[in-house]
Amino acid sequence: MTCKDIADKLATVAEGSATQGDAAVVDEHVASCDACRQMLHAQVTARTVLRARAAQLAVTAPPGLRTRIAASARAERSEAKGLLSWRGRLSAFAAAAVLMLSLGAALLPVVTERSTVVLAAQLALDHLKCFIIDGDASGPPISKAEAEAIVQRDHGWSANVPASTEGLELLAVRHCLYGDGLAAHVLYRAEGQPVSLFILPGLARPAAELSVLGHDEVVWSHGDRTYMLVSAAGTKAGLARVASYLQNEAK
Amino acid sequence: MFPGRRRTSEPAQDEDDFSGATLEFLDSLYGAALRLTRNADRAQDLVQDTYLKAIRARGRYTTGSNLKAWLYTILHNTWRNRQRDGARSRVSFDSAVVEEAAEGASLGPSGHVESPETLLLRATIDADLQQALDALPESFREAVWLRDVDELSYQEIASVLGVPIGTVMSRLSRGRKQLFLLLTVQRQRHGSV
Repeated sequence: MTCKDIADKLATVAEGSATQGDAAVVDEHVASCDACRQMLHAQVTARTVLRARAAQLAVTAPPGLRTRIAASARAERSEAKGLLSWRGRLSAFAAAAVLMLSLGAALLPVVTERSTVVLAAQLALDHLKCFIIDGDASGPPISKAEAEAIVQRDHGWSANVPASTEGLELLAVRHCLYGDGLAAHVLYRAEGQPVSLFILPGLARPAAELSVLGHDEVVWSHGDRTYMLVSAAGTKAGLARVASYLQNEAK
Repeated sequence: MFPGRRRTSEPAQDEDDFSGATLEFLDSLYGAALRLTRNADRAQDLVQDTYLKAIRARGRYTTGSNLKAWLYTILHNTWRNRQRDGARSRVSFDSAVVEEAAEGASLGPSGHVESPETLLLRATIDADLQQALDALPESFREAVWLRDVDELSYQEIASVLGVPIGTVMSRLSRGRKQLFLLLTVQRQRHGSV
């Protein structure tokens, strides 16, 4: 047996989980080979130390993370199975939204390299919060100039907010809690359906279309800003038309 | 583990069981995500993404198999995909370089062999061990951790890491060897030899 033959067997011999045959071969080899004996010793030692100290190295996930995952799971499950009525689904989402917003705002920092899926999930909940829980879109439509003035006032940066057009009403602009309030949340109604446009400055993301937590989302970037359009699932065709309009107008 | 132990056959109840069972491994998954991302925010992000995918793919989980290993596989796949997307393209290159360097490393003075217990008792403090683990290339560290701490089988580790079993054994050997070397160096630095 050469050292190379032995090398593959050392991992299991070091654990005491090798076959009797392998253990005997390795025993015989290391009796006359310093290098392999030391390698075996190193493996046994490293494993022993690690196993003995593993409990001290264990980490505990932040409590908010557990709550957010549980809430997302509940919302995802309700939607996927279609077990609940439309109103029931809203309640489930609203519960998830409240949890995510109450915990997420404090625990999740500014948008940086978050995965688009996670970001999309959070924005879906923000969309529900503003439309369903807070009723932020219950007033009459506002003008493009008013909307842009609100963005400037609340966020300190300027944005080109697409105006109302046929079949699309510009309703309100809100400070989005996600990302420490850095995203501007523009609320529209497209043929009676709530639609949200989120403008996230300082970060470009790859274009994408995805479905998450019962919502369809379209993502695109222009310059260093990411735009995410959110509406309830099942309105994809309408969403594509709105996205196309907003992509042209929001530049 | 999630061996389908509940009596009910109600789908919603099974779903609750599944979610509850997956959350039992949250701390382990968060720990793995921290080891991979080395950043608390990105670790949370990775874990959330992993759970979303797990819940959507729950139909592909085989009841009775190792749920923790299945979740680890999703987490590592997600992480690898992110790296592939260019977020951290240098990591694999760095790992390869360190792997080669580790191959040539010496195990110390010939013939001088201490018992593992001696090393345990005299030297290693938790901070040192953490530091040594942090210094391992990612591919080695994961193989060692999954085997020696999480006690996954070789086959399960191969699935999690997306490599053949032979590669798992090789990374495990080399990872343990390098961990031993790092601990030895630290011990010498602390003047306890």
